Amino acid sequence: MRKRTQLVGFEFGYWKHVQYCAEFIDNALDAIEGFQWRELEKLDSKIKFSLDQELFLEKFSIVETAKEEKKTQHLNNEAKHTLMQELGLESIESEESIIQESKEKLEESGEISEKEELEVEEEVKRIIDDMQEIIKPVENIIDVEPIVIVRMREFEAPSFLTSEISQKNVMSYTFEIFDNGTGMSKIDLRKFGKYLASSKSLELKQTRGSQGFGAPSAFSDAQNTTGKPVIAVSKSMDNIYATVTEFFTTSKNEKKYLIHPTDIDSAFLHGTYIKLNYLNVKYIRGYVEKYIEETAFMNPHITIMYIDPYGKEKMYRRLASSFPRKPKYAKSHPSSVNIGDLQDLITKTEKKTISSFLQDNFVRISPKTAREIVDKAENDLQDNLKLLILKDGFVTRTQKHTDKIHYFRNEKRVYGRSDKPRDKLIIYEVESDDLRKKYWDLISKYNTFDKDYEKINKEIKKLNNRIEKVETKKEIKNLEKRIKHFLIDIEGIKKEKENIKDQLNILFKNVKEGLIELKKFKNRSDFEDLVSEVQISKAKPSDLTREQFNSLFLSFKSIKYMAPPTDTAIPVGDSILENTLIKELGLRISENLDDFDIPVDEISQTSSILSEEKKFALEKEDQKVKEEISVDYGEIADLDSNILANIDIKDDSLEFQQFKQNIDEILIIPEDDSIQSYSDVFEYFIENYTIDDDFVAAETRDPTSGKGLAYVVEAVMAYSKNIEIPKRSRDVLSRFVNRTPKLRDSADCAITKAVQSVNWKNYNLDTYDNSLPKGPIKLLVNVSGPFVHLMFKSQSKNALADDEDLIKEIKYCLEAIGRKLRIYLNRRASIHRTEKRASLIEKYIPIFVKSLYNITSKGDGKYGRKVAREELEDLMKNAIGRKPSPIVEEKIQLEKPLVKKKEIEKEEPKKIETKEVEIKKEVIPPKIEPIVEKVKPKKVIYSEKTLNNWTIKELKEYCLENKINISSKVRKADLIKIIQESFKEKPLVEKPITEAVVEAVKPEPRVISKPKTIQKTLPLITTERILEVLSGEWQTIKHLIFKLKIKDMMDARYLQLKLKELERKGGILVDLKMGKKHWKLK
Amino acid sequence: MAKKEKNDKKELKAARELFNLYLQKEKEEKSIDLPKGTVKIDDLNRNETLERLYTIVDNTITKIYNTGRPSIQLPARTSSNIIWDEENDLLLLGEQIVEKQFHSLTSVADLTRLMRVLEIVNELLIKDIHATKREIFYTDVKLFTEQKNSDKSIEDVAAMLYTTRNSTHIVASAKGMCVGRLRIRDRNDIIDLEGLGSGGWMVSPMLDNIEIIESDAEFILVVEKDAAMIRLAEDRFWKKYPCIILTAKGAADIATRMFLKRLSKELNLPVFSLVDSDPYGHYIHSVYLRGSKRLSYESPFLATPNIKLLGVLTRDLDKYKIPEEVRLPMKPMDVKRTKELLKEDFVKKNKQWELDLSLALKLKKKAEIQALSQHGFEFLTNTYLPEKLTTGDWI
Repeated sequence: MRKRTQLVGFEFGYWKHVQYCAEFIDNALDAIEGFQWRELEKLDSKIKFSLDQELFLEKFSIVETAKEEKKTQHLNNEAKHTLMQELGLESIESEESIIQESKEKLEESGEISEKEELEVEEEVKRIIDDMQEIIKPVENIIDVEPIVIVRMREFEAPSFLTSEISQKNVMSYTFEIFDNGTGMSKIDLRKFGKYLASSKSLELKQTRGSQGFGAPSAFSDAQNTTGKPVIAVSKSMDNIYATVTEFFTTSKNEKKYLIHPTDIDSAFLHGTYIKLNYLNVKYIRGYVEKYIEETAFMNPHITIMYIDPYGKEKMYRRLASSFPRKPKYAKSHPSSVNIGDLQDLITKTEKKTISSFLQDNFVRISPKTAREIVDKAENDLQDNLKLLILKDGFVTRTQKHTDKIHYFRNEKRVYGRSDKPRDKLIIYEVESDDLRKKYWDLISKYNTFDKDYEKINKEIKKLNNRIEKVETKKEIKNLEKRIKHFLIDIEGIKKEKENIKDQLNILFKNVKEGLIELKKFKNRSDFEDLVSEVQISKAKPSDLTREQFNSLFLSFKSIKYMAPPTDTAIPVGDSILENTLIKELGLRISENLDDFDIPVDEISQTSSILSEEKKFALEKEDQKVKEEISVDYGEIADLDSNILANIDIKDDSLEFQQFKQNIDEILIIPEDDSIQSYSDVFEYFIENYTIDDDFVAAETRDPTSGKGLAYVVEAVMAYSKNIEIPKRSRDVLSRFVNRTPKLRDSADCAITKAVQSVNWKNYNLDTYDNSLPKGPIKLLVNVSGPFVHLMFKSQSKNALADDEDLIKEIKYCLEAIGRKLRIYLNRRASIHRTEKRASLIEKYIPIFVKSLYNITSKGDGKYGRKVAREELEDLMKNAIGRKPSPIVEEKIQLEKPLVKKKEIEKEEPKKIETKEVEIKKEVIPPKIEPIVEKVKPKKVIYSEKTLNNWTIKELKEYCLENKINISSKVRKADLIKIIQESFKEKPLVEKPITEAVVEAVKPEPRVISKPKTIQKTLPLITTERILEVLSGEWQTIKHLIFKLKIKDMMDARYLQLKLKELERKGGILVDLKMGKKHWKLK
Repeated sequence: MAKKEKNDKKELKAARELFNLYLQKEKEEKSIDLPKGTVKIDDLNRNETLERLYTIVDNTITKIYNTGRPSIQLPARTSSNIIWDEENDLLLLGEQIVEKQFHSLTSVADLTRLMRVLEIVNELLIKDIHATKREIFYTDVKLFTEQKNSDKSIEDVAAMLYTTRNSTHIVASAKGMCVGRLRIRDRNDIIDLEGLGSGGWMVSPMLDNIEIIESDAEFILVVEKDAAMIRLAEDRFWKKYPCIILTAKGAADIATRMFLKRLSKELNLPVFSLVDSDPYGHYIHSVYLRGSKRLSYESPFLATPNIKLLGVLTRDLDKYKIPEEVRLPMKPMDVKRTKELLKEDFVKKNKQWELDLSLALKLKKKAEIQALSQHGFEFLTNTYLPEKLTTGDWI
């Protein structure tokens, strides 16, 4: 009785565990999404998942909590049991026997099981207890967080079950799953477990499962192997009580209840709980775990908890704070429909006409196209059935001169029982030679058109074949032109045919003589059928003949349609994917991840900021020279941007030395100083963009629609030292279709093929023999779309079929990620070089310091014996990898007000000592921690985090600068609070950039609100001052820079311009010595 | 032979004229005014050197305290920073300065070695002893790995202190030899260079211990090679013609050059050089003349700008009928060197020299001093030198 065919095969093996998980988790996720989408549509839903809160499950454990629960409950239960037994209310028999017994009863009584009410009640209680075990621990979040709980338990299988099975090591498993999705009403629950009862199959939507085969197949497998019933508890929003049932499914696709739907109290507002038992080979870790993990990767909007048969828990907390959009209901696109689909749809439809059927069932079919399809089909039919439709009648089409010609038309006649005239099809035979001759003239023309048409079609085919072979675009264009001509010819033929039909109509319309009415014609019914058959436009879709259907399909397929809409495919989204991987894999990603692509832009921004600043300074200080200088200034800006544009930071395969050289070459300014400062800028940038981070990049392509299927391809890749290099190539790539992991048949899948088609070596990645990428990477590829089931190779839905467009799309997606990866890997290589450098430098420190110490301790220098060797060594060690150069620092702080560096305070060696000890623990503290916030030049308000990173001294300095009153002895936390309050008080701190710039260039001490300014005063470069420092002796610009105390490259440049100007005016003498300009006073 | 005995002693007219000219000028001490844009290098005594040394060390420590990133500035010794002083015919160091950063992969080893050498120099100065370059290399083979590294650091240290290498008490093992009419004092020993038999006095690297007492020589003859030196010594050339003969046995080392400089400066004698007639010989002459590029900063203390190139000149080959078989063909390397020499400013300035080198380039021939022996072993001492010195046939 329980033997049922399984539409989805379940076979003994490790994969069976996964199959169970897959079928039910997919359903659970769909249910949760369905619930949320429905609630989101309501304007003021109070029960939707809010998702704003962060979910923490660090120390959470269902097993532990359940154990504790049990401790308290156990006694109660025990007590109850004994009490009941004493009272004789409960049989001492085991659960097993009850079921056995009940089954027997079932077999006898058929539909309804007649358990004693008490027994039912007991059973229900047991079910609830089981369910509570996994639900109770999450009770407080059960209605606010989307959650799926899966529990598997292992038992020794009874020998009578395993004796027949040839497999060894077979165990019995209890599989439980709970989701707080939409839940089922009593009516829905009744259908649950039947094949093709899925509510999802009604609409074509991007869902995980859609056919309604999975769960029922699982049920039947469960029953078939263990003989135990399936338990389902479900509650939908609209019901007050949850419904519990226990049932078998039958081979008649019906259900047999052990427990009829019974109302119970439930701990959840909505959701479903399913419990079933199955036999399988012993569970091995690694299969189900992987499936669940991958599911969690792609579904970060839902919390998934899994308890394996040995009590190990896996928690995948919700990481995304938003749900994916609801996929739109999608109709099929004509070009993706095959003849079977059309047949299927046509037999099911209730529409009255073909035209409305087409419009209703497919996307991109307007009334006009529908008519076009029908017309085309009709024309085709006319030719096939040799019956032409005229305006007022029908005429047979003859091939030979001598053939009989029949003409039909509807005439109002009184016939049958009614005495009112009604339309009746009258069949005439054409007799008169005149008519016959005229008819033949026309019809022979018509026939020749047919031949022409065939010829043209052949030609077009030939041309199409040639197009495929031809390579140059010109020739292709030529051929296409010719095809177009032919198509125009075809149109002409069609018109001509219509013309002839019109003429034929005129010919027969009003003719009365020469036509003989065939009253008692043997084949009358045949002709009647023919007439109705040829009129496909009037036919009912559900009763089309084979001829009609073929013609319809032909015309349906021959018409060009607009590409399907792409809003039906919903991707996960690249940022969500990235974040998920970061959190799940524990990747170290600094905030300048975003800067991966655009360092060059940012530098040129710097220069433009600086330029504006300079301009302001000039305008302020010297109105007269304003015009000239601003012109010259353009040159500087050009120069700067040229320099910057020419240096490809992205491709830093260059060694730094080379890099420097590059800059030297590009830089026209002869001063060594400026070269130095520029190269320092770059060094700084390189260091900051190449912090030893892990890598993660996701790419979501725009939705595409190839061959009538709308789909989205997305991929995410992580590269981290923490990821082990997979030994098997298939472990590198995780494939997903509609967020569902696909673990099997990887070699066959289009995704795998696409990944293999990428030349990973281009992106500095090693590959396996089968050209899958190799390395400490994780690669996830997801293809989403409403018609994805059409793209599978087989019903098992494990591999996507090859499709040129799909593979191309995935390839592009991966290549985009590859490009980012290459940048990252190059940077990492350069970091390794820096690290190597650090260790090398470190090696020399003790030797250097020893020498230094020996000298100073023997001599009578300033320091003498006061120097401690260790101290010096530490100082130097800590300086490794830090960028010095106050000149550069000045600039960088300008463009990034939030930059903060670990700097050692200068005048307080004592304080350093304590600090050093702390840092010393890390042997190499080389990199600047990525405290570089995103560049937000306008924002001056610091986050608490930033403030926390400052030392007290810096904070105090900041307070002083911003005139925030503080007492001398405050704690750091308090200090931060005060500062933050000051932000609230003075929202005006946020100044527009120009203002800040003006402030920055004022010749007075700087008041820019940043914790550290190295150059407190900006030298004022005026003509007077230049003349002041110039003397009777020849001096190079270096001398002048020194005398003017210039520390900024831009100022130096400005000085140069000033000097040129003075030269022009003849105020000073200039001479070229040793390739350098020297100046002196006249 | 008879011929030679007849003209036994030449007058050396030209040489004597030059000698007299120098005598008249007497002690017209030319104080060298360094041109602008060049660095002044001082010959310092112990304490001054130490003082400079401590200043640098103090600055370095201060830097470490401030930033943790020590660096040392020293004058660049690249060719672009070497300036030829036309007026004094010297190679001098320009004002370019390189800053060597400790925290840079390229210079960390350099800087450490530099500091190590500085440490040794400090010790040498405090103890007032000298050490050779080789000795310094062996104090820390592990650090220096190769002697050229320690040599470079030694030169750097001197440049860094803006002083001569001698002031750092690091000496090069001198290979120079001197004989002739000269009496010197080495600390407590008085040495008469006339009475040293057929050998000679090895030039001491510790020249600050040497004091020149007296000499009645009329000129100084610098010989490139030991062989020629032996020839001259054997013939007691200085007996016949009052002179001091000096050789560095090949390329001139610092001590020899410095000794020559002192001789020429203190005795105010004309100086002639006798080198091979090949580009290398000319180069050796040029090193005596205006210093080597490598040690450009010490040029004022090493160069003898008034040295004259006596021979063997290319034009002498024909003039003295040197047979074809001892004239060697110039190798490509020689041609290249000659061309390079021709490009030098100091050659261009001396038209005769330029002419002679051009001639060599034209003939593509070179010859050693020994080629003169084709006319008999005594040809050099009896004929060639006296004749040339008499006629003033020098460059």
